[in-house]
Amino acid sequence: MFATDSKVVQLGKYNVQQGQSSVSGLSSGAFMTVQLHLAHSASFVGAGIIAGGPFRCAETFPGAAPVAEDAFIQNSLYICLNPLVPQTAPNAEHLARLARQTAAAGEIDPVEHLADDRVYIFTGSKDEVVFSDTVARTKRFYELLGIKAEHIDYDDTVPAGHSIITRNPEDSPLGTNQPPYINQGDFIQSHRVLGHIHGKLNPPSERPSGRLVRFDQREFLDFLDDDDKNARRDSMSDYGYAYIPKAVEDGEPARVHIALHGCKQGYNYVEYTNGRRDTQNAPPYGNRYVTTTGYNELADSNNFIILYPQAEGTDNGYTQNPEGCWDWWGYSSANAQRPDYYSRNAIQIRAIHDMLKRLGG
Amino acid sequence: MSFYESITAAVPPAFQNPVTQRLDSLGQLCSQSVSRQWNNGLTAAAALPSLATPDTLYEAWALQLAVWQRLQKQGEQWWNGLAAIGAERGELRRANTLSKFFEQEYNLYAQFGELVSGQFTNLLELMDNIQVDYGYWIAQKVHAAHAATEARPHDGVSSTRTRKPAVENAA
Repeated sequence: MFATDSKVVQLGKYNVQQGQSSVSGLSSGAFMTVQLHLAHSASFVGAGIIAGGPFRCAETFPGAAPVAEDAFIQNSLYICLNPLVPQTAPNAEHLARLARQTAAAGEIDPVEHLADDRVYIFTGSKDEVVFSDTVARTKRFYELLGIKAEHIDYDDTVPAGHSIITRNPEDSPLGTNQPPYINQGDFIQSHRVLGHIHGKLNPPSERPSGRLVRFDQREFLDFLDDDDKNARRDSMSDYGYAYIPKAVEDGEPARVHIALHGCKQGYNYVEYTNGRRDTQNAPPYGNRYVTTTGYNELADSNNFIILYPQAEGTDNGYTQNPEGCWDWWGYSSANAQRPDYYSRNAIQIRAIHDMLKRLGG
Repeated sequence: MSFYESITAAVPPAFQNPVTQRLDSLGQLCSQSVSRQWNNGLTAAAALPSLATPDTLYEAWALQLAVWQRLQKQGEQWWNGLAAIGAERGELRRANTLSKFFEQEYNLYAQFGELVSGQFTNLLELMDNIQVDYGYWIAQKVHAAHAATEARPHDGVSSTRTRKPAVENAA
């Protein structure tokens, strides 16, 4: 367990090895992981996708509705999350072509940077939120973009519900699909993610000596114009967190890993009950994703900085994201006809990558 | 500006109050649903005779089965929800205050209301799910059939025209 003091610090610069960073996430954090990985593939050596779909999945079937915004949401719900059969899951070939076109247009890094990357992909066989048929297409998508088969660790063998898996006794039973989407199994999934991407690592620290710092995310959103700020298109919380090992603070070389929570997992998530923010009954789990998922212990013994950006719920008539998900269907785009939630210029991707740059990555 | 936005913009400002806008939104979604259903039907009617291969028929059957399984699961949730409310009623003991009595009664009605609303929402969601997935599936089939037709060699007939490359999957 980790505690932060009450200070809000500015994210600092460390002796970070450039181009050696990685990213992982659960659910909407996994969809965002894929987007971030592709948008900035030159910065990353790999990605961990726990229950996530392929790049621009929400644009699989534009014919779903005559209004583009409706089609994105309907695609995300009925093709990306809950396809009825494997044949109605996202089309990996189409989305891989779309990724190449997006790279050719200069909106994301060239996909050639992905060639040597290592990717961990997981789907629980009891997941009822992001169906396994979709996650299987994520594997195919990465293969089509040239990632070697031996660099992909694809695991669909665990009878887990929609969750990141830990060994913590207070977490939910393995097969459940319920908030906070942190389930108890017989392994620590964050360690598998980091181990697969970065190779052999030191065992996790039993008594980590680093600090969990709270930083102001708003300084990374200064580029927003007033309209976007008022509409809360960023849907990001005021604060984010970062775990900084002691050795890294003392100047040792470090790598950065970005850990993205899923929907309903941000530190200030508040349930919308009958369409109204239910502040009287805020969920009690706060920042459990930051403190109990096992990233920090492994980071401590291997000089990883773990960056935990935070998204929050927004449902104001402009931005429809009541569950505090990362944007993978376009809610942060002002123009639904030309959505930009996946490129280097997307609000959330730009802000998170600026955080990475600030750290030195 | 989209088709629907241009219609909305044409509505006089006096009628652009929140209630009208909500009704407009409901109207748009209902007409989308009907047009999607209609479009799926027409496309299927036009395309299925040429697509009636064993694979396609099997996939169509699998789609029907998936829908049936979702309905069955929803039915289970309904009966489980009712059973839970019934069990809770059975466990209620006497209340010490009038306010507690009404709170206990209201809680049961609220739970029932939530169950009904959940079932209704899930049913509408399933309806959308079926329409979108079925439309997507049939669009892929039609596109694959067109691509196959364009790629088919014309035996015995030489052509000086360059054949267009087969476009891969639709979507």
